[in-house]
Amino acid sequence: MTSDHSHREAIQRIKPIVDDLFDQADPSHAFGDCLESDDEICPLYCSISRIKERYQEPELIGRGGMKEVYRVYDARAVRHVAMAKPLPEFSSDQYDAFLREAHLTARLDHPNIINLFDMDIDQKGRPFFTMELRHGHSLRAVIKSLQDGRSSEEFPLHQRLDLFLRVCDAIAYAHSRRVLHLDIKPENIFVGDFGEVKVCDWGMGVVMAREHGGNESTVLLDPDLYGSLLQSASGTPTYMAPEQKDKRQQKTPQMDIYALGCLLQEMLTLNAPVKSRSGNSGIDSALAATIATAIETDPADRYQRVEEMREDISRFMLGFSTSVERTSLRREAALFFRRHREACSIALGLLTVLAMCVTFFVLQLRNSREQALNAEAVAVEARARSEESRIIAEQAQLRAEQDQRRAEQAQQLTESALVEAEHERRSAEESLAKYMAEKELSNKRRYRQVAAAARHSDFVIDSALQRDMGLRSAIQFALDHMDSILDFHPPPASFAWTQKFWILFLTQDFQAALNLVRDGKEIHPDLVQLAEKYLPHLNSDGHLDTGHFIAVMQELISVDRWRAPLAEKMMIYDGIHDRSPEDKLAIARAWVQINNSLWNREGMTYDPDTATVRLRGNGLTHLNRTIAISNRHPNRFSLLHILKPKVLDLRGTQFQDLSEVDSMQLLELDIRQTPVTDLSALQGNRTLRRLLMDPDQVSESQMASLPKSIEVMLGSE
Amino acid sequence: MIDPNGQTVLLGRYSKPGFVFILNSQSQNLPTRISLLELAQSGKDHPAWEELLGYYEPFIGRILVHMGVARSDLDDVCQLVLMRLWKDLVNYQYQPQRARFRTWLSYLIHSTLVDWHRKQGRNQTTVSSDSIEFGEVLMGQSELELRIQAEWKEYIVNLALERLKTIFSGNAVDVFVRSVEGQSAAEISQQLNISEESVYVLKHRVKKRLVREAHELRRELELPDDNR
Repeated sequence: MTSDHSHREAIQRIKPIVDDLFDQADPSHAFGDCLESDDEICPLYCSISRIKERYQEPELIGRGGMKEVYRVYDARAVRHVAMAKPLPEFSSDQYDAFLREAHLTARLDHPNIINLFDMDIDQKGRPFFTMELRHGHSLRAVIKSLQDGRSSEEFPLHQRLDLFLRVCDAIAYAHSRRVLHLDIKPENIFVGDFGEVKVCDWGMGVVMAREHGGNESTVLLDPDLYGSLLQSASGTPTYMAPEQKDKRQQKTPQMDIYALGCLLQEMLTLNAPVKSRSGNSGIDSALAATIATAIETDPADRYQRVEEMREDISRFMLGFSTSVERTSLRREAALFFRRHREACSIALGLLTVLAMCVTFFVLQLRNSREQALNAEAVAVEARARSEESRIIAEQAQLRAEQDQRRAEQAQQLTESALVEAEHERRSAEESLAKYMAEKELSNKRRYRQVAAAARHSDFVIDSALQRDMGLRSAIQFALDHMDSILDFHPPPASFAWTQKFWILFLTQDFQAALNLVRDGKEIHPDLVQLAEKYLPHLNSDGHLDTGHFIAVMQELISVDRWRAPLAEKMMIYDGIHDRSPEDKLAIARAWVQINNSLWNREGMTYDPDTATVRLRGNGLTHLNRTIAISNRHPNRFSLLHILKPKVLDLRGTQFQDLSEVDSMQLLELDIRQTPVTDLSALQGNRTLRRLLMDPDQVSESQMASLPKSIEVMLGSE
Repeated sequence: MIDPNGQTVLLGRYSKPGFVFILNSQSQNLPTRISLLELAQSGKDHPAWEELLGYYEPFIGRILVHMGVARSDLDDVCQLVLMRLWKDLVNYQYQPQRARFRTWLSYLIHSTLVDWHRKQGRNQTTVSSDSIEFGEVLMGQSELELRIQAEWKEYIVNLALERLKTIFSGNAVDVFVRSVEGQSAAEISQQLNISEESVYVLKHRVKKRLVREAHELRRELELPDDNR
């Protein structure tokens, strides 16, 4: 866009000529009609063609023995060049010498030889030639600055030697072209700002005569034309070989070599060359030898060719010994070191390191050898010790073996003992089992015995109750029997203890009964409570009074209906005790009441003299125990047992079953106004003598089946 | 514009930056050659037509803008003009007495514009500001030719100048422009830091080349005027 903008601008800026341009570009005209001449299009060409004076602005920059040199501007080539002109005082017959130099220079095409550009004759008829012009100094100026100590960094030794080698190159090349310089000196050598070296001023130069038989096509210049020397011109004496001073002498390359030697000497010593050993002081011996060879008085002793000299210099620079040097081994070694400084340093360093390593290794080796020797001595000692210990160990082993054998025997013994013990154990176990079985058996037997004794006592008591007089002794006997059984110490929960407690309880010996409890026997807690409750109420002869006795009976029944047999036994046992008839009646009445709950308790009388019991009132239905009736506690006692009635009057009661009076040995029975209808219970009765009943109470057959001993009395009164 | 099938798309819309000077590279070195315009007459499928459009479209667009065509309508009208141009190219080819190039071009643009305005007027029943411009356009028909003449000159010279940009370095054109503006050679050499000699050389070379390029462009793009 900016370019667009600038163009838009451009078109605006050239607007005045747009019309003109457009018309000029009319396509109906052939192109190019209206254009200007080529002069304007190709100004360079025009300007060159217009140049009248090619070399302008001359400026004298040097003057030699034969010519003077100007710095001029070459208008055609558009550059500055060096222009050489013969000295003004030279006449035309001397011009040839001048031109000869030009030709010689033009002929030498080498980087280190000054280039010739042009040669011509000016308007005045004087010849001139132009050469390249470079910025720099002559070697003379360089040496001078070195003498002043200014350029020593710029031109160190190797730099100067390098510079000299280039001069050698140039001269060697010239010699190969059969051209001798013959005026080599610092003034004629140009050193550029960038190290370029140019050999100038070949005015003294000559072309060597062709060697016989030689047919070198490179020789272009005729030695006859270029070989002779201008008489007036002569070289610089200092650098001139001794034989050169003889004008008739044939010019040889050795003359240049001599000059080169002088040049080298001056470049190195910075002093004017002198032909003596002292002149080489401060120079490396190799270079000194080179210089000495180059400036030998006898040309035959000098280097024969420039290349040889050059070779020596370059060998020196590369650190080798020169061909003209008498070298010792040490010198060679030093040179070698100089040539291979880094490699040598590295190698030496490595060698040092290696030596240190080897030393270290050797020391280590010696140390380890000593250690090994010590270790060996120790080992020998240890071996001796180990031998001893081995013997000991063997003995120990022997002993151990014996021990082992013994142990084995012991083990065998132990094993047999173990077997026996096992047998023993088994037999013991067997006998134990037998014993246990036996014991179990006997226990069982004993328990059976105990149970049997308990039941026996029960039975004894039950049966004994029938006979009042034997009851006490029977109870005592039962107790004794129980005690004998209880000597087996049956467990506390055994039924036998309860049985004993029972017997003691019913005899009202509460103290003895409670003693059993104190001894840890397991007795029914309700009985224990009763025993504890009524223990204080025992009177002096060991019996409860009537009131408490009735209370005991009632409580027994109320606690457990199945205690009724116990209460009954207690009452019968108590019956043998000497109580008054009133007390007995009270007890009997309470008992009848207990067993006939609907009875109103009235209408019971007892006449001890006639042993008559009279019962009246509704609700009396039974004269046998009615509660806790079972097969185990059979009903064998009448409710009136303790009264032992002979006459029983049941008139007006609800008594029904005559079998209930069977247990009583009645003489007289009154059943009038009772629901009794069956007289079969009286069939076996042998005591009854009189029976009172209502006339139509029973059937005739009943009446007839009665025993003859019974007198039946019918009637209401 | 060439579509992917290789066929020329008729009167496609051009993206102006993508514009290519085939002319410069292709046909310059032929000593006697048919002009681009003549080449384009041979058919729409010819690549020359494509190239020709590249030259004409921006110019016609510019003229239309000058004539007050709204930006939104510019592309449409431009396409219409180009259509007419194509037809005319074919039709007017062999007529012996041709109008001058600029007359032809102005007539083309003008009549197209009139037609278009008429069409617009039919489409729009209400009178709009366009109708005023329409009147102006009608009145300016004679002026249009002059204007096109001036614009075409500038356009061609500007194209030539653009080409110089690719031929010379930036300085060269600048030297020329400055010299046209009346700066002396000494001033230019001082300001642009080049030698006075170079200023002379460049000035002349640029001018010569500029005329040459303009000549080339006119030959390629204009119908030759017989009456000159």
